Amino acid sequence: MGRWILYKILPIQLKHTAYGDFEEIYRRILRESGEREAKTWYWKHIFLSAIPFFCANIHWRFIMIKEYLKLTLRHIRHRKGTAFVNIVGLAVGFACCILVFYFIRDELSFDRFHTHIDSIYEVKSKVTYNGGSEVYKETEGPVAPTLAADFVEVEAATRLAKVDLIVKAGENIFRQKGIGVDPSFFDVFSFPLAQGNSSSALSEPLSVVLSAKSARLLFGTSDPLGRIISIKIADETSDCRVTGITKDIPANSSLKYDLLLPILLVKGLEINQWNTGLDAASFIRLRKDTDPNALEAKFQSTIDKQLDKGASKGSHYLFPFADYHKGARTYSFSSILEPRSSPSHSIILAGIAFLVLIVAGLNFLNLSIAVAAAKRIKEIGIRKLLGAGKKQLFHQFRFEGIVMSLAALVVGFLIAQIVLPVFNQFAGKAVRLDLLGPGFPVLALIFFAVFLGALAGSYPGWFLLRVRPVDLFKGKFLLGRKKSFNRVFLLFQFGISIFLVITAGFLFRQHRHLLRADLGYRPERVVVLDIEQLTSQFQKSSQFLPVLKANLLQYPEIKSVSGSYSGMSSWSAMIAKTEGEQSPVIVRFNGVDHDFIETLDIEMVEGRWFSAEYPSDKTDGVIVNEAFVNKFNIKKPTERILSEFIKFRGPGKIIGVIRDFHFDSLLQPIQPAMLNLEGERFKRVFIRLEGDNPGRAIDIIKKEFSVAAPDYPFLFSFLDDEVASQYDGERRWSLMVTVVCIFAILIACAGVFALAMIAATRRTKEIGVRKVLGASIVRIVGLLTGEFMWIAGVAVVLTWPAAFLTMHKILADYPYRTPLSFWVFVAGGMVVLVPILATVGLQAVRAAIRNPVESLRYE
Amino acid sequence: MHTDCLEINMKRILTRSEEFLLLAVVRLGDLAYPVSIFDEIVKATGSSLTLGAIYFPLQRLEERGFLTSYLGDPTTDRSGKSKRYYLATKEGLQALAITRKAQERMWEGIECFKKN
Repeated sequence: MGRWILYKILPIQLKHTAYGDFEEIYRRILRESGEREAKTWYWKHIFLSAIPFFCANIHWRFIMIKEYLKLTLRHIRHRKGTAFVNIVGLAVGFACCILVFYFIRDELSFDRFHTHIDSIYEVKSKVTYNGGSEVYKETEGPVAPTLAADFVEVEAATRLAKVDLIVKAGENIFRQKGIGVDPSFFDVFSFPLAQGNSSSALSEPLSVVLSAKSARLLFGTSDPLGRIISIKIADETSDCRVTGITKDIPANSSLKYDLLLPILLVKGLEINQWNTGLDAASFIRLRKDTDPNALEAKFQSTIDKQLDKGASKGSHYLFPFADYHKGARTYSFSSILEPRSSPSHSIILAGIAFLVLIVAGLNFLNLSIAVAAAKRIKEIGIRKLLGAGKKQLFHQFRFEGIVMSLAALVVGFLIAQIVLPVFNQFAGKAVRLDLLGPGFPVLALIFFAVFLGALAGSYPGWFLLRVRPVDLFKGKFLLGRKKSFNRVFLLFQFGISIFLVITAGFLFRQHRHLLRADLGYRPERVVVLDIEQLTSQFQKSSQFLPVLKANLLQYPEIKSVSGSYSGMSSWSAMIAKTEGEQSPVIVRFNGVDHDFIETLDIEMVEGRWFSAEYPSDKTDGVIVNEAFVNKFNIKKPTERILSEFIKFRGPGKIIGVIRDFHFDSLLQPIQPAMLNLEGERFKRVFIRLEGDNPGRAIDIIKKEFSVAAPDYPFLFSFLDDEVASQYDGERRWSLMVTVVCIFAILIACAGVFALAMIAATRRTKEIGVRKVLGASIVRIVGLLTGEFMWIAGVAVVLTWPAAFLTMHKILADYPYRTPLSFWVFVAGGMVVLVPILATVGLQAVRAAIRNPVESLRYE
Repeated sequence: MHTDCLEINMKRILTRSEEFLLLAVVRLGDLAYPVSIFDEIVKATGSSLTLGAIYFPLQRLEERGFLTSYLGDPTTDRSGKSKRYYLATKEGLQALAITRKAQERMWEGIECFKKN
């Protein structure tokens, strides 16, 4: 070891003698004072000798680096165009990666701010039938408290029930999202309080905790603690004291609220009784190192003991809260958690960013090599002649590459920073670019940049330096074998770009397909009123809707008005059974009034719609859809009786079959569904407009609404907007991929442009000679573009199968999908190839129409 | 004064470590090799010199022509490596003289340390 260091640091000729010298003194000391002293001396001296060596070395390195930097900057200045293309191209790649990294980190960090995130579980009830099983979002009210009381493994448990509130603080009235919780809420979840005491905040019956946002909204800058606010839930108003303010809820929280209030206020005392229905979501926090499976097995009997036979008796299961946002398939829905983004999106996004980075990286490599090969030969030749060492030249190239790619990294950060707001909007996130935040791979990116730069620099350095200076001047080696590398890079670059374009094309078409599909009803010009906020007094007395309906129908702008229990896409689910058949089926259910079919324009297939002429429709009339008929395999549907269709209503008779229509989004196949006649409990009103002036119609509706239901907020939307907003995810994705595609094509074009330019300059003389000998411009253009055409063709052929398989897999997730039309593949290829070939062609034409006299004179 | 100035060529003036090395070589005569040089300097100045630190100056002195060197016979005491012996050249002696002269001139007229 010591010897090796000595050999490394000492002047070359002196190595051997120096080694001898060290050895001599070592032995002398060994003789005089023993081994330890000798060794100490030996190492001490080696160490001390090494220091000046290193200092000198670093000093010289530094001088060279200064020199390299100077040359690099000169080189960049000298060839602004290619350097710009090079740096910006790579920067875009880096920017994509940086953004995607933040996106994924944000996805992975979801809910991680809870101290006990890994031991929080949601309890859900699962009901099993012959025909399958269904997991419900909620459990019986007492489940959570029972678990907490009976099992030591459960450290804390809380029930949660979502509720819409109208909150009045002083003169301000707001609609707020509340969650009814148990006092132990703060033992399960970690929402730190800015004011108040988390252990006592919710213990009193009339206390509320506000989120910081809500506190600002209600009280502005004044101190909210201890203030009284009046909260209106359904038809009851209670005055509550503000006992705490939680700090701002992180953007990456699946649990969001404006207010927390005692669950008794929301659900009433019923919540504490068994067999009153599935009332609340239940979350529990287990003691560390508890096996949830073992606990699951243990608590089944405890819960079942309490349940009536035949009620929602079944099994209760634990779902790890940490898995919710990660995308566990079984844990895909929750009554109180925010909807999550699909995990496959992260993967797709990461894949795309990776592809763009590869395209940019290849572009960078390709350009550096081409520039070095075509433009810097003379420079290298002269420097070699002037005595530059191989190593120095090599270092120079490598250094240039590294400087360029680090510059690209910095530019990439800037681009990412600029694009960030748009990106956040696209992705529905609140990501910030914190450079030194946890898990940030600044180092990894820098390493990657350095590696890429070194690679891009080393390759030209490596092969140019092997050539004799004389050959360099003659440009001999260029016609040799080294171009295959460039070709492969180009091939990849083209292929990836084509792949991205095809992906974008299909995502775009899929989104359009979803938007334009025949829904089975006509959502255009239908206004939806949200009347959930109306007091039940109004609904129950059946006063509000008939009044509104009668008043509205006087106007020619209003065609029809219909009440509905659920809004589109939020139909409830229930169990239905036909008479004589054993297996019940879970069907979707909605209660509507007589005008529903006309307002939404749904077609009848068989039988009749609800009619006022048959009073029995109100009690046992049921209308089903085609999917229902198919599911139960009913031959003559209008003669069938449903034995057990609604728990509280008894048997029903199918009076009609309607055509299947998409009450859910097109992301799900149409499920068996059932409608019954609802008299009083409506949450939505659908209003079909007539004529071309929706603005006026809205004014009319607003006016009449305030007459029928004074003092209530007028909440409306257009049904087609609501339908379209179901596909916001798809829209975002197709947009995102499109933007990325444009970047990729731009990078590819810029790179190819530079390459074509270089090829043209390299062959200036050849072109001149050919022209003198009578070659036409077309021939010369063909000559210059031929290679690119060829590579592009191969890229297209290679990409198609890969794109086909990928799209097939992606589209397989959609029950209603756009066909994998061949022309999209062709178009995808064209979209990439046309601009590329155009750039190349332009360059080629420019080279071809030059006067041969000029080009031949160039030497 | 002017003529003397011309005599002193700045390039010939040695640094202190070079001066010590060269002096040690001169003092040791035929026996100057790194170990003895090292010992000599340590003995004369009591400084804690590192052995490795003398090779670069030695090499530099040799490059500048102030020293010559030759390899001695291999010895068993040194793991079979031979010693490199150094001899001062005429230029080296000259450089020493010039350095000394330059130094003396710089000290001229400064009295306070004379007693020591």
